[in-house]
Amino acid sequence: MLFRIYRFDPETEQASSMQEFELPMQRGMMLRDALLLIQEQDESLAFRHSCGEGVCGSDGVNVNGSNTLACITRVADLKEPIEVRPLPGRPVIRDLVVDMSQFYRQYERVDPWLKPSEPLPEKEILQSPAENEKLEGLYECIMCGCCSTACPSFWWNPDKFLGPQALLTACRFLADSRDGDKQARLEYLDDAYKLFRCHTIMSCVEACPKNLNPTKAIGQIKSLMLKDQS
Amino acid sequence: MSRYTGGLRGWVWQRFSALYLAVFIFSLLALFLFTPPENYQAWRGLFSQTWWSLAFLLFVVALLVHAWVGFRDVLMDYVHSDFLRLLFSVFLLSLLISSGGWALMLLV
Ligand code: SF4
Ligand code: SF4
Ligand code: FES
Repeated sequence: MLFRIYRFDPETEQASSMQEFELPMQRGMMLRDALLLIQEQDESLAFRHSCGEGVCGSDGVNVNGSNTLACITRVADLKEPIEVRPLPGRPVIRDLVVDMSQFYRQYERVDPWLKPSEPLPEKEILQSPAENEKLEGLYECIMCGCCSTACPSFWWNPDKFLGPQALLTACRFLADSRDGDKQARLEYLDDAYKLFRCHTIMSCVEACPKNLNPTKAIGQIKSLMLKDQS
Repeated sequence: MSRYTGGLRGWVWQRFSALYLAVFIFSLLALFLFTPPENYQAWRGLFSQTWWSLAFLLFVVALLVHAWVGFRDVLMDYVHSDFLRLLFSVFLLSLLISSGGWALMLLV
């Protein structure tokens, strides 16, 4: 099978290039396995990975134009030549490794922790099953960045627009019965950029390898704002 | 008064204006389909009715509001220099306001 892999070392090279590799087809091979085999051919290839089972979120790459996690992408499902590029719109550190600092900073800005309004009880704060269900589809995010780096609004304003990942997280805390800071959270999100640069293009939904729906979460935040009016 | 004036307001304006635009345009289509005005005189005659003029005026306002929020979005997405964005905003706003004025002149 033919692979075309993005190569770039900004420290020594002027421009990026695509390098071709051939691998024999193996049954059940995931893209991460293929990258590891390619690395055996050329040790200088850099990419991130860790858990190998879609949990750590470190191996987000752009494959044939779509963002996804290499470890849970079956090579057999991909069209040849298989083009692997770094996540779009982020500064390349080397080859498939990009600088995600901006993405993490946006995550930080939504205060991704519970702020209970009352003093913490001795043990845990209890939640009813119904309350807990509200977190479904929100808490599972592994912060791989596939969504935000597929979002045109995030490409144009990565410093001002929080991006789908951070907004999904914001929604996760707004939906949590144990959080007591909802109004301040909503007021914080209410400016022209942080949330409202989203144009409901839904590239994020398509990209998310965990099948989460940031667009829906963004809609939920908007309706919370509407409800909290007056 | 609304608590959320930063981003929500623009978004809500955009939605409401879109709703009115859709309703008006569909009503207009229905009008032309079922009881088309026979000639220009009859068409002008419509405007002598207050409700019609009002509905049309509201249409112009909704169109301008909708266009403005849309333009503003495009500017915020693509024009990142504050100065240029201000320049474009002033230009587009004056364009929109003068088109509004023109529509008003046609109406009275
Ligand atoms: S729906 Fe919003 S957040 Fe998702 S990709 Fe589109 S603009 Fe970005
Ligand atoms: S929402 Fe999905 S795509 Fe985005 S960071 Fe979380 S897991 Fe990754
Ligand atoms: S290696 Fe951990 S998610 Fe792919």
